Amino acid sequence: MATNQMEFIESAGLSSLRLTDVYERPGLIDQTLQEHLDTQVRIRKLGQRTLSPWLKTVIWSLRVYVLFMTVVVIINIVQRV
Amino acid sequence: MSVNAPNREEAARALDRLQVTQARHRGGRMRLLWLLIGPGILVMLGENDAPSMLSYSATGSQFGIGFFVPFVIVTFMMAFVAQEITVRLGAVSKAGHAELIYRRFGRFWGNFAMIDLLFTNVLTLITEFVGIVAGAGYFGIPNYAAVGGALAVMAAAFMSRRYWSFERIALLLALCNLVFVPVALMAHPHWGAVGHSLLTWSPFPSGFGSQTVIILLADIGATITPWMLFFQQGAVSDKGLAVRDIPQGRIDTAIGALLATLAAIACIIATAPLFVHHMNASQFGAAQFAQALVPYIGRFGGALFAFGILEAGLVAAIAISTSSAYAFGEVTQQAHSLNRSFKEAKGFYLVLMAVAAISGSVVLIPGFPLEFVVLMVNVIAVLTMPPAIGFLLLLVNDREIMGDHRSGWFLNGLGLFVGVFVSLAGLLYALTVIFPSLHL
Repeated sequence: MATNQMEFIESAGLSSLRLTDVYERPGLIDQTLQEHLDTQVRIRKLGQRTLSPWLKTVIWSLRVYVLFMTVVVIINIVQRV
Repeated sequence: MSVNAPNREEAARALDRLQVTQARHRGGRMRLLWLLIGPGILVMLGENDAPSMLSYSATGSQFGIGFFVPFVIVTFMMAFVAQEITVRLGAVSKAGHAELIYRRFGRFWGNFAMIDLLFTNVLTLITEFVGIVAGAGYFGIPNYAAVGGALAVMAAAFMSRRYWSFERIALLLALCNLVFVPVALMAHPHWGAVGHSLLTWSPFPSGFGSQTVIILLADIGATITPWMLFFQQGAVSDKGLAVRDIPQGRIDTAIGALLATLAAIACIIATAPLFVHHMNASQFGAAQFAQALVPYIGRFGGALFAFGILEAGLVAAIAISTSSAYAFGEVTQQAHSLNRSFKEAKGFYLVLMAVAAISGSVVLIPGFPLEFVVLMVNVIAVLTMPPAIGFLLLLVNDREIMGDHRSGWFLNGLGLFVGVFVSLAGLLYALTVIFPSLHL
């Protein structure tokens, strides 16, 4: 744990951490959320993945399944009405 | 993120993280768990929504204490498998489910996923308000007052401008789902029958006709639906869970599954007297169930049952509206955090309340076939699950997203089992619809 975080936690006490106390310390915010910041940058850099023919087949099959089931539900509704 | 001008979302999340760090440093394991639980319990108890509790009521009244009691336990175990993946995805990627689908699979597949989500969410939200109105109606509260009151409670939870506050308010409401446990006790069940059903999965429903299959599908849909994936991953990332918090996220989800299973089984047990006394409850709504149970569980028990349905609808309306708003914000790349004020995240909050308000208004339309929508919504949710599980498994095995936190062969096996099970259940439903005279 970074020294600044520790110093802040120890000085603020167990139950008295407040939003305004944190808000006034932008450096502490960046330090505390470093993992979040780094991950967000990494995820934003991700592009589209390449889908293999097999994966495309699977995804399309699942989509056709939903479309088929939509028709079945409509038939069921008509049967009940 | 700007060092010079942090926004409220960052400051709130940093405060939450500092408290977690403090708890870790001081060895406070219970406090650490208290700080980190929330999304899992909320999503599981939120899934015990009004149509789900009505599905369990229909199950108990039509089949009594038998096969469906252990079956519900299995469905919640499957729900845990799916939801545990969202904990890892949210904690590792710090992104919501919709955002990852769009980023990795593109707009074409992302739009399909969003259409499934929004379609099932709107239908489900309507049924939540049906439950709210029915539960409130038992106490003589007019429809418009019930809808207005529910929207006011939702607004109060959302406008706290702190994810932490929203989560704690919602959790408090969600725990009221356990009201079905005392209702079950009031029904004086035959505990031997409960134990027998858990051990032997019997009595088995005689014949698998279309009505039995619909109950089966409705019970599956009562535990696994697409909105759960979007909500929990969004909540995990909004809450700011870190990678090292994944074990607590798993515990949170397991506790949620356990509590929800307890409430679901309690609901089946509570309505079993209607089966024993051969009451035809196949067309019952929430209020009719509560009234019909009064001779067996007393007026107070009936009131508790009606309150349970009202609460189930309210909590689910909160969670489902939030899942829609998270998805909207992720897809449109606008601010989408409950740590933001209305001014900072107008689109997010407008979608949140508009979706709820529109669904609530539909319930007030005279002559709208609400009972039929309630009946079919869980079935429809199950039918849209296979592609949702497909994307879920693809994302959790994506090396570029998950790194070392990808699923291993065992978890992948379990995930595939859930997907195949749900798909086969859907095909069974299709068979009984296309061949109505078919009895298995």
